[in-house]
Amino acid sequence: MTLPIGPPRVRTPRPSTEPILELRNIDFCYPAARRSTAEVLGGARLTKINMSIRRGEAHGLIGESGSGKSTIAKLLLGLTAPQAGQIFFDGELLTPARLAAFRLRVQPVFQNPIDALNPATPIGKQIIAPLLVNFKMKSSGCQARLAAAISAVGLSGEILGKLPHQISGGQAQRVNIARALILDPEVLICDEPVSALDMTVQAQILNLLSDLRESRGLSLLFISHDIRSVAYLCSEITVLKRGTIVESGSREQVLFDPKTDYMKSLLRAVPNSELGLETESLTSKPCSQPVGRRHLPAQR
Amino acid sequence: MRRKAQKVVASKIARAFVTLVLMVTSVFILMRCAGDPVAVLLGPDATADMRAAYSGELGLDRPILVQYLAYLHNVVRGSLGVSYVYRQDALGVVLSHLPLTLMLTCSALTLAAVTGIAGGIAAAVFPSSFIGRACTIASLVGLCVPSFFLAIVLMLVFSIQLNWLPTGGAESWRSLALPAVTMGAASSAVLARYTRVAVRESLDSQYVLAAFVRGIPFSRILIHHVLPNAAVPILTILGLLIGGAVTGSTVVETVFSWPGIGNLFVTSVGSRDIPVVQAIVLLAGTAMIMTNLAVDLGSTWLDPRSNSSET
Amino acid sequence: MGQTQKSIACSEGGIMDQTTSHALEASYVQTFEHGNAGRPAIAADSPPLLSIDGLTVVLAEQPETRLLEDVRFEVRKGEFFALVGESGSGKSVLCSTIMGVVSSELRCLGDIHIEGRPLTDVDRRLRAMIYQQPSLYLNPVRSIGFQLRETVQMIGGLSKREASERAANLLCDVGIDDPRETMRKYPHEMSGGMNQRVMIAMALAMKPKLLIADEPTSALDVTTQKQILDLLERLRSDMAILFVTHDLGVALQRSDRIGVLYAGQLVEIGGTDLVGRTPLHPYTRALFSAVPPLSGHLRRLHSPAGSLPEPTQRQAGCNFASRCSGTMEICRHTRPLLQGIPQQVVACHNLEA
Repeated sequence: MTLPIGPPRVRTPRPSTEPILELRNIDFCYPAARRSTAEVLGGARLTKINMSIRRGEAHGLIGESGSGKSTIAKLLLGLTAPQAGQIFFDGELLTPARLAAFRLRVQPVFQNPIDALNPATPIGKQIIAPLLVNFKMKSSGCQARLAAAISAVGLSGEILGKLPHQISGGQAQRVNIARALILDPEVLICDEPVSALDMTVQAQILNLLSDLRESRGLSLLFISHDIRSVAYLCSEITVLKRGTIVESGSREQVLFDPKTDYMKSLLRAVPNSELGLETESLTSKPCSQPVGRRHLPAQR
Repeated sequence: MRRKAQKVVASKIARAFVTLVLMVTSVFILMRCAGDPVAVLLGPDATADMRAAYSGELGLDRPILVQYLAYLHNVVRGSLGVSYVYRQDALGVVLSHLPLTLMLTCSALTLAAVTGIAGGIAAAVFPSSFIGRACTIASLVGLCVPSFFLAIVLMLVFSIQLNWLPTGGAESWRSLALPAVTMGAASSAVLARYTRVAVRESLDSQYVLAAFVRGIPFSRILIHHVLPNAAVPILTILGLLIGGAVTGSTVVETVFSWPGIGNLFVTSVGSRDIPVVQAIVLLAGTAMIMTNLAVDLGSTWLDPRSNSSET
Repeated sequence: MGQTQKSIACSEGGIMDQTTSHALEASYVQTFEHGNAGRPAIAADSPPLLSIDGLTVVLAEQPETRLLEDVRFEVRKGEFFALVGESGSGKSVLCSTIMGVVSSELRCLGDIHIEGRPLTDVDRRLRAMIYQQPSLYLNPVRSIGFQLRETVQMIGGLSKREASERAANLLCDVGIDDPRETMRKYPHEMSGGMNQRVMIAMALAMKPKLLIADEPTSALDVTTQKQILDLLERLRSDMAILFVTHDLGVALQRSDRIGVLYAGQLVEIGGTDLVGRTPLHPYTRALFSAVPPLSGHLRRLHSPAGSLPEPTQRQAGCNFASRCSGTMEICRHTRPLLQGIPQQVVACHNLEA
């Protein structure tokens, strides 16, 4: 395994048509003992999953609890193997032999930021841990990459000596993202990364993920039950229900022209959505605006 | 879910049976490693013929597998050999000492259970009060002090200085007091500590808060919400303590000259009375496995969540 | 009543010219629909069911550390009051204080009255609370039926059969189809949504006048959330509901009045339609800009730089001063008071006319 040396490769920020990560005809089922818990929650297996994530694209996966979204995350991270079907990475079939190299290029960000960190180790050590473990580097040699990772996620150096219980949820999630970025991966699998955070902090992390995608050409799989965050971040959306994909397509297609009743009911259930409401009228009244300086929103 | 529970119970019983068989086999192997019993019995100046004859009598010249099967057969029948010292059925000898040991251990355990659990609950519910602090300190002392030291101190104070209680033997109920207290002290301390932790954890939980907020009286919360949740770890410890009840404590029985199984064990090992030693070990092992099974089944009943987990 | 109002962007950290940060600081605001059709009208002159005045909660050992500072608001019968705040804002402490289960490390000052009587005189049965993760708040080793019957029997005088009957009725009221079967189950055998319904049933058992809901739907899926919120709306005619949440969308859609809590201080209170159309306080506006829009237009989410100050780090004055773009000298040492028209009050020095 060679360590990518130097600053992150500048990849084409525009999404290309060739998928970097692909699931074809995946079937998956948990072993017998744990099935009962899964059945209580209403989702026991994945059936005929076909999904592809292109380079530089943010792909959203919407589903309720028990639909199997975390299972897909585990499959895409190589943490578990499907009973049927194939996983393709960068055009090549993922085999057990290629798994180790694959895992370096696909990194996770999970839901509970503080739980994902070792409570007894300082933050700085935890961020460089993937380098120490995988490339047997010494911690003195990792400082440049550490500094780069920290600044990429908007943190300052003073957090490096702290312990996880001394930082907030938002900061902890940035630390997790820094740790994921330090190996310079090509794909980030985010399993409900903002669900445990407050709204203002959520906005910061969503902006961060969007910026990282643009600047580094990262592909993102963004899994969430919150349709708003998925709508904000992702250009392609897949909807999962009880282990099968019920709807898939571009953001505009899925949100504004949903084909299935399930997606329509999900949109209706979002509090204060302006879409998909057939019963309530949408009258807009002009409102007087206060005068002030005009600042243009950041270009996407 | 009921069928699942039955499957869980059945698998636990099956596992206990397998453990029993493994234990019995281990005893067989260990006993064979303990040296040549013939040499022990006949002494160093026995001739080869005598040894051969004795071997034949004891059945030691047959192949090992045959010996094993014969052994199993005997164990199931309950005929565990003849004591070299007492010249009676070994199991019979052991069982004759059982009532005294049980008397001691049951009273010690009762004492330990009552004081330990009550003390633990008191320490958990009123941690900063005098009672609570006293119980916590007492349990720490009970854990740290070795039983023989405690035995001798108690003997010095109550038997020799104050002359209230006899120093040893088993003549009257008064001779039960000191050994029972000594044995009970260590068990009580262990129970108190585990009880305190379990009850504290339950008291700090959200469901107790929710019940309190609903206006349910504290006594009811303690009995129906706190204790059932704290019961499983307490029961596990209690099970371990009960499992050791059959053999009693060799130290306490020896110090107080209480003629129970512990005492018998020490003397039998000293006199190389292998059948009796074997019988005691088998009895102790079986008792431990049975009590563990009972505790296991009890916690399945107490905590319905264990029915849904993996077996 | 839906409107999408776009005004001027105010980016993170704020680069507004002080002279233009006006009475109404312009920010990029997206207003929300307010489905208020068919709500029962609440008589404004009816006496308040819950009245909080000058509530300050401090650490007993360090009285300078304030978890809540001079909180005052009222809730009337039949009203759905949403209290919006992020973690660290003090909303959980507020709930515990109203329920009377404050930790011994804290000291409370100020007045809380329920139905005109001070908190200590009030029967515990008048207020009920539901929580965020219902399975943690249910006894795991007792069946649902046992726990529900126990609560029902608190009223007194009911035989076991009558209590079971009443428990089954309560479960029906909260939308559980098969109450008898559910009563035999244990909390770990049921989903989060079902457990939350059971919690609501237990809360209703005492026929409370005030229901405090501490983020009851945050851990649930969006469809389950909608069902639970619909259920609460059905039940609210007999009670006042104090709904604590960090989700602005839920607050705006379901409530009659909104209060915004920031770092222990109430910064804005008002009728939901008013606050939804014209949020006044900079923090409220920041909350609005932070919600990802579910619309065709993609704009960048805005969030004020920095983070909510810990109770130990709070200074005198307005707690939002460190993150606000319109901070003036007075903001740092004098806490602004809630002022404005009765339907919408806001605590901000910038907006004082």
